[in-house]
Amino acid sequence: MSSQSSDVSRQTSDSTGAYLNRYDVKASMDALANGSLKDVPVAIKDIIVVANDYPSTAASKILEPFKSPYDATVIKKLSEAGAVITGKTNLDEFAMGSSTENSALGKTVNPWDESRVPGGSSGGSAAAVASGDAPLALGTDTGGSVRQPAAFCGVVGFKPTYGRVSRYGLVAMASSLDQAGMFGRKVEDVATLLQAVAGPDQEHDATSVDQPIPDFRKALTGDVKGLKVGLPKEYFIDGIQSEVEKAVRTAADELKAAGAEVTEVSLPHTKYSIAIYYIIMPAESSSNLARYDGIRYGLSVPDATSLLDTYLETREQGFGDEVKRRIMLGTYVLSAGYYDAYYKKAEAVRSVIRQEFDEVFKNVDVLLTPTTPTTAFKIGEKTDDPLRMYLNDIFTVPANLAGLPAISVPAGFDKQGLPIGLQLMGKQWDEETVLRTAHAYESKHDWHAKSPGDSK
Amino acid sequence: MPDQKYEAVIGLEVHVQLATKSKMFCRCDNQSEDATPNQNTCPVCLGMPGTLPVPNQTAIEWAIKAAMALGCTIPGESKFDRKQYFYPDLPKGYQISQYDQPLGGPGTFEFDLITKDGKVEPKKVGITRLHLEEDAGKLTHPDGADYSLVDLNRAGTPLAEIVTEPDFRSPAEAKAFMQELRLLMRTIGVSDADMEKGHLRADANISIRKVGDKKLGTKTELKNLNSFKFVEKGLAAEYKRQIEVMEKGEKIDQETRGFDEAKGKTVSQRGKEEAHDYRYFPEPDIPPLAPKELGVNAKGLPELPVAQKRSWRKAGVHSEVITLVGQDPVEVKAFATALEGTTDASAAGRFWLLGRNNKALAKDEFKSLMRFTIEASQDTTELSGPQAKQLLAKFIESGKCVKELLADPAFQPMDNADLGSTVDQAIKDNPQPVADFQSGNENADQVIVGAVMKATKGSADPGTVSKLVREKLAKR
Repeated sequence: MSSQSSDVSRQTSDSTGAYLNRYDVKASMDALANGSLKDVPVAIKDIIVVANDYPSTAASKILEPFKSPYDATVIKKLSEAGAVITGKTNLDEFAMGSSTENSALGKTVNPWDESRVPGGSSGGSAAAVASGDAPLALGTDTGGSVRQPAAFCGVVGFKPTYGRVSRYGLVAMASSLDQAGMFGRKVEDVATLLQAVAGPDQEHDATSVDQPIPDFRKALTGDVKGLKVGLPKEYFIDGIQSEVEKAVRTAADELKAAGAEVTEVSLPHTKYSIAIYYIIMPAESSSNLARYDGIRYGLSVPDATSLLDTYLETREQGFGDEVKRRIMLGTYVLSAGYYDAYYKKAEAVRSVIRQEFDEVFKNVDVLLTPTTPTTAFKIGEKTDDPLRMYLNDIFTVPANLAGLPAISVPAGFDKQGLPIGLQLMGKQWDEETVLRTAHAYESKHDWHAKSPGDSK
Repeated sequence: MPDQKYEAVIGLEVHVQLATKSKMFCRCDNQSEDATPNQNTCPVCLGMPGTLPVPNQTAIEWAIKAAMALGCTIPGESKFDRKQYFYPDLPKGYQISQYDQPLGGPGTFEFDLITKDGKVEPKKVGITRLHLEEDAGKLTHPDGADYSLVDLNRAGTPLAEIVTEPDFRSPAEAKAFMQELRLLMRTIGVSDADMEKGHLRADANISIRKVGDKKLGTKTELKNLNSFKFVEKGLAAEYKRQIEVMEKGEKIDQETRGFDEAKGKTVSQRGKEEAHDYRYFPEPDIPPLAPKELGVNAKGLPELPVAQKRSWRKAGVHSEVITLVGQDPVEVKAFATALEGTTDASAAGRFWLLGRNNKALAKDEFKSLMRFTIEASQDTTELSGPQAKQLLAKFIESGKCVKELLADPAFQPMDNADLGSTVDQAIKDNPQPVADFQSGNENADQVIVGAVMKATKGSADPGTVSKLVREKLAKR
């Protein structure tokens, strides 16, 4: 794929609405095949700040006029690798959503079916890669925001281990869960992008970790002989789309045929993931969003008559409904008298979930699950029902709670021609095994080479 | 001043500004005294989207040092928390502070109180905790303007907050602790601890109870006691007010009050019902700390001022000298060096006191005063006060060594036979004062003493002269 179209014309129209700001740049995909990003176009989710003439908005009105005075560390690293930034892609406001419908600044559709959502929150980045506009994109993944849209758009989406990539310059949603993630058409390309941005950032991110950085492309041996694959039974629940389940089970059989050992495992506390995620995430978000107060930058309502008015009016007009909902939830669970019952208990369950993964990973190398319960849903289908929307993240959230590396890889199409994604989760710092397994699976199929236009 | 019936129960909450090179969570210059507003700021301390705090290792180490010097226990694990409230001087909408796992745990600090009559009383104060946090910026409200200005130079400056148990029993004790704390922070080198510049800021809790009662009364909080004088005066005013309220049979409200210096009274600022819910939770951007593994060792601390002052006192240095010298660690160090060079600590204290206010002697970290004190305290204990002053003047003027200067006959102590004849002569020359004295005017002998001093060009010791004059007058 990457070798076909050298010299991408940046004039092609952005038919899916992937971008909020598309830069006028020249780029070439030639180097990508050799594992280099020299002149290679990369789309950037607009929650990652870039110091240039364009705003860094997080798809929020409150940051609509905000121009960052500094580059995120991942942007700096991309520049050092010679990559070309194609623009800033759409997302759910402050990355809060699973469909990109919560963007206050633009609408993005699924490149495979324009009546459907691209997923979210990194829907713009996923759509940009799926539609062929950019071979690579950066997103952020707090509860599945890279993997879920990757599954919906039929591309590869990867979330590295928490601490592997610097968060400096990622507009924070939930600090203990946020991690930069990568989109590509192939696992190999994702590995190349990961290579460029991975590494500790002691100057700017105290949660980045100084771990040895392997050569990720070298890990893609195609060999899964002796690999121990676990199928966690809690990830095959009622309500899961049958074609999705079938795709994952078929993948298990294929891995087995290629020499892997597949066993069923159990992660009983997985069922609490969504519940505690919707305590921890809003708690941290409510705090991280306190800085948008109309005092120093971004939107500031001019006719406010007092300090309190400035705060209230700016935040009332600047934030969308979902953002407000999470600020209220978060403020509530951190309040005196409720903290112990909600936040503290959620953190305790989170520890149990972590330990459970540790236990399971004593016996298996990688876990195989669906990425999402269903393929892409219709635009507007879930906007009135936040709870149903939240359940979309049920399989992706655990990896964030435990800080584990996880990938979504294309696993075929359903009857309606919509892409299906499967998820592989690995041990902390073991991106190599995740990528190797994904790559071995991918190489047995040609789904990654299919483009939205082909199927129609 | 202390009431017979009521005793004060006072606890302090002190913020110490750490004099690190850079701020607490970014690399901005921490020294903003001469900076223009918002000069020392960056995306991090401005709270820009996407920025993250990276803790200043030195600030953490210094806070641990301060905790050790105060006798705190150092915990195995510590962490930062977010304290949340909205204010324009707080860029992130939360302050990074420490809630339930501070760097310094409970401990006891002992120092010496000097009573008005010069007695030394050891005082133990419980230290509840010491924690590290970032300062906020400064808000100014220009006269008549319908806006306020924000200066974020100070935002992110490291602060060590020290909380004491309610162990002070008078405003004077609280003030003495603040002074001791200033010296301690200066001695271990973590803060300039200048109250006037806001490096040291105190809030106090105060309640009263009947002497002998064990139960604590309702406390009020006094905010922003930003000088030693304010600490004592503000607390004294609040102590008095609470007694008056109690005496009237009324109840004391738990509230925050401020000290109005002009009125000499404390005034209510806000009641308890307006208290904030700060929604503390662990700071997810900073991993937990292991304070014991950071290599800060109590043995690495310099000799602490309480111990040092005790050793001086034991060696015979006068309390007044210790109190004055003990303000500034530079002087403490210089004086300690001078003491090492002499065998007569008491005399050294006397000569040091004589020269410490002289700029020429105090420059270069008291280098000249050190020399003068060492040289003078060896051989000149017999010098009278005026002689010593003269010697000092000559020392400054010539720079010669004291031994050489002492060769001048003016510094020879007069023997008593010589002095006797001088006194006789003075009595002879002043018949009227003599008559006055004998008819009961007790002060009339001063004229004769003055005449003797004049005749000896100040070389005689006024005490000895006075004694001799009285003896001779009595014999007549």
